[in-house]
Amino acid sequence: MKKQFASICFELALCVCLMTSAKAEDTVRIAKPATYLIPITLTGFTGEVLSVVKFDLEILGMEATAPDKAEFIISGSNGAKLVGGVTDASKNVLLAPKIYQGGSPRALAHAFAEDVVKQLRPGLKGIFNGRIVYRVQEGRDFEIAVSDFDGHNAAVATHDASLVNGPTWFPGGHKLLYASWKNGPTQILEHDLTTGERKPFAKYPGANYSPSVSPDGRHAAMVLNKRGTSDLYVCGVDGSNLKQLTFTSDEESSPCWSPDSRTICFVARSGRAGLYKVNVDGGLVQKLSIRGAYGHITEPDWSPDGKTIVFTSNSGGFNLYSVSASGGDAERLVEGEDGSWAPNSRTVIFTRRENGRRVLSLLDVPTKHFKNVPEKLSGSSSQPSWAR
Amino acid sequence: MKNTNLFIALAISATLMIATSGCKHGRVGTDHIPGTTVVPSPIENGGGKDTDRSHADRSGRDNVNPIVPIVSEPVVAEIKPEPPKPVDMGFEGTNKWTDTWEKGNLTPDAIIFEKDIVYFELDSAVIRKNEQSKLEDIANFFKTNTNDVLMVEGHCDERGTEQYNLALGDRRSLAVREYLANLGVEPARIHTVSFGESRPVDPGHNEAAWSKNRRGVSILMRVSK
Repeated sequence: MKKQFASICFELALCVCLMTSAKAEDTVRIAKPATYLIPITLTGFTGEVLSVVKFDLEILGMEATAPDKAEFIISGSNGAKLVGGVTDASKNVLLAPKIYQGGSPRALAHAFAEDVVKQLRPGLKGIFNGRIVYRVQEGRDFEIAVSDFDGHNAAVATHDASLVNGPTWFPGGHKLLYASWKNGPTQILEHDLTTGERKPFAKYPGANYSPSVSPDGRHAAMVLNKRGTSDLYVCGVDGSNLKQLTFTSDEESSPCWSPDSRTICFVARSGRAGLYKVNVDGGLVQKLSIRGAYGHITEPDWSPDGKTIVFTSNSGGFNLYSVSASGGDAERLVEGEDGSWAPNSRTVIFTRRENGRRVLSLLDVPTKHFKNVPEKLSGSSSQPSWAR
Repeated sequence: MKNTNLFIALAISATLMIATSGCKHGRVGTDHIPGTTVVPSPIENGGGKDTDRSHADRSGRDNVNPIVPIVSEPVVAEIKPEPPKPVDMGFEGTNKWTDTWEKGNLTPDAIIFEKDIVYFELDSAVIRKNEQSKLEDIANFFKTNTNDVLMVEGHCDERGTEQYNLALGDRRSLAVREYLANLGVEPARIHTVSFGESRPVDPGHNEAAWSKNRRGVSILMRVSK
């Protein structure tokens, strides 16, 4: 009892102290260049809260260093409540201290980290309550898994002991589409995570795979080979009005959407695989001209702000690149594959091959720093998709 | 003297004959071969550019070497090939038996065509010459077996991205299907499935393993009811 009282006293004292010094400064925003790795130091936090705050900040272009090298001090305490704020080391002023309560220590830590990011990386959409879906492999079995963006609260959503591929979200993050081999012929299943209900979404003759729902939730693109060769198709999100968008003799794959839901970017092959664009209503297919990336170019994902497309280039190894959505010079980001943008258009979750296994990793695109998602499920993980 | 005059006359008329024939040949550009249909290419029918070119050819022959024997001239003729029977490679016809499959009424037999697994070169879906007899085996089986159906699996090694490999496996299975269809197996009896790189026979990370994993596997699906 005494101990509790003491701790509350301490929190209140700290909070008052934080509040007073912060008064004049809590609206100040410090804009550092996106590519600048911000040195920070963390003090006062312990255990899970410390590790969560550190992880969150480090995947957004900050780096924990020795206190004398830090430009910002992330300080506070964690008990039943979390108290925390940011001090600009050069001016010695505290910015926006707050008390966080009413959730698990992990949730409080994410909420605090979100506020730190608002201060040090202003203008970014919050991502620390984000969810991801991915494919997890154990032996010959591939299942769908869903977790927080950092791998916590992971749950395997399927138990088919079969093969699945390319899980993707409906906008809102409650429903999935993915290809399943469970019933023999490949079909696309619609999986409601709230009710657990599954139903076939596309079950055309031949193979059905690579689903992708438009950001406005009105259409779904996918690859079907019912014509005897794989082509890109689009339909209403209820499965109606199927329309064929490509008519090639080679295969198409991996469609993704522009944020305005008007354009689909996908992979087609003429000799080697490259990125192409087509309007949702059909018409002319245009090649995206990409300089500086070689080999097969596959697995595009369009950033939510519409500016950038990440893709995998396979020329001997696998590398993640970014290119302007209108094409041009590609920039190598990191060794890895199959990137998926977070809602902030800055973070990308992707797959790395490590010791014969595949693990998920989080990349800060401007600084090119990455951190593996802590592993919560055994086996190999790949094909991550961020709920947007 | 008479003989000499006759000889000169013959020689002149022969030269004239050869020259005119050569000229005619150059102007027309194609010769008809008895018993074949000549299909003029669109270029020969077409605009001024190509007409100009044939003029150039003719004048070249006339001026430089007018008495080349006709028989050694290349004969330009297009023989229209027998139009191949259009094979609808669509999967519409496979619905009947995929329903049966989903109901569990097909029994897969992976043994019978195990010797007929087709192997591919890296990043290729071309059926190599030395693999073709395997598919002839399968096609021969279907000449006498009219009940069962076939599932063709396309597999890849691990050196592509997962999504590229899914598409490549698809292309491989479709290549096997098309090859079998051209050997007379009804496409509606052949289904395909791509497993990408997810079902390697050899989990190794070297060429010995990869070459075994780049494969097209044919599985006989016996109708049990």
